[in-house]
Amino acid sequence: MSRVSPDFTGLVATYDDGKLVREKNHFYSKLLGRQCATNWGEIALKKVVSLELYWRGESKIKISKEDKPLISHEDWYFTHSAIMDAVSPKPKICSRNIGYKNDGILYLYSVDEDTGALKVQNRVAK
Amino acid sequence: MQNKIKILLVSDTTHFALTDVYYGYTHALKALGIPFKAYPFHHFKDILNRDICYQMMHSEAVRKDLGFTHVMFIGGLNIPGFVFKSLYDVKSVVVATEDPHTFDPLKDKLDDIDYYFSNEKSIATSDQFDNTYYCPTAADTFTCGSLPRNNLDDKYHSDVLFLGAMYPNREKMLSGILSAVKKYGWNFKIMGHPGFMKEENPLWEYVPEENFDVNGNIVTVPHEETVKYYNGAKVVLNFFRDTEWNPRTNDMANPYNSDKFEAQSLNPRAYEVPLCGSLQMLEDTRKEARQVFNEDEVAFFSDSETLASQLEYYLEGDGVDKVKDMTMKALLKVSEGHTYLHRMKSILKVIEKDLK
Repeated sequence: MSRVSPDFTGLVATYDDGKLVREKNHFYSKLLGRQCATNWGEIALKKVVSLELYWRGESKIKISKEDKPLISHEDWYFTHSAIMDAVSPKPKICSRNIGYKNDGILYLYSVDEDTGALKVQNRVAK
Repeated sequence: MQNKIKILLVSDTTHFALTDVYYGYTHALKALGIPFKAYPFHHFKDILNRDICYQMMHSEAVRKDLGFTHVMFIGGLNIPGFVFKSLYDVKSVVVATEDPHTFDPLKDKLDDIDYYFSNEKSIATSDQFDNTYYCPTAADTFTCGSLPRNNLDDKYHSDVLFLGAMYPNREKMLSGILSAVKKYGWNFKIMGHPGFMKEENPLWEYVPEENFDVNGNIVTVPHEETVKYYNGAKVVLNFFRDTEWNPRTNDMANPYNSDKFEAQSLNPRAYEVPLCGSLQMLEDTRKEARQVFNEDEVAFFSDSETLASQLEYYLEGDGVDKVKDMTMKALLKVSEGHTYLHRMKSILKVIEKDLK
């Protein structure tokens, strides 16, 4: 059975107990006490064993602790950008990025919202 | 005592060759926050006499007020000996990318070069030299890993692509797959420098018009375009360079590798294609091919028969379903260990030692 619905676009985080956290949009975070574009702020970094980005139901990139056992919870990195224009009532996600830090380099993988293209970026980890 | 590095980064003199390497290191130095100044020799020489370009570069390198600690030459093949001999306190770093094929001119200057980073393992690890280091070629995430593949123009799409110089070994290999190309009607493209082929060669049929200028002369495909063709191809063929044949002499005697160093290492294409997300068919005639990649990441071949059968398998057979997984694994391998950012970090580890 697929982990997501056929038209799902977003992040799926897997916890060490097998629980899946699927992205929700226009989300009120009780943890942060405010309205957020997604529920990413509530993902518990200490429990994450894999991050996976889907685009229209298709898995575009998956990073897992199984493949990279040296990743610690502090090394996970995920961020998204969103815009709020004058006419839309809710923010629109432009790009989603997942990655991890290792030996001073941040390995970042992004999926373009419009085309589904995977973009690879290596940066120096701050 | 100097303790802060500052680099003058000098491109190779030729336009087509090594600009990808030069820009790769430019991006890496920027990302790492290393103070540097770029000296794009290949542009300067279009407007100035070549000797003036060398003098300008040398003057800049040794100016005390600019404070360069190192001059890093990409390629470095055409740099005159006086430059290496008279850099005074400034250290010379050569990042060679054409070894072992054209090693001799730089081998003669090794005594005057402080650090020689060779793309060829057999040279870098040779007991003959004490200032050579291994620095394989790589790929640049700023160019290869950032294109929206689905948005490319039609001309960039193909089923099978070869983009490179047409050495005799490559010509023979490509001729061997023509019957399969015709049988399945694959969109087959040969690009780059096919000029070494004879006029009557049937492979000319597969060289597209964008490889020629309006006068019918072959034009160099710039790296920005090369990357688009890689992105648009289902399969990119990667043959290694003929170790014997040399385009300058056009015969089967390469005069620039007199010590006959074995070619073991990979070319930049081996890293660029995976980062573009396309399936690479890699000739496994070099030791490093299977040391760096495995069969879960790329498809190997050793002659035209195995190449044809691999193409059939991955374009028409059961292999079609494996391609997505393979290309993803290869992409991750390259992005995590074989980019210019990784190479620059390795170079810095060596050259920073002397500053401490």
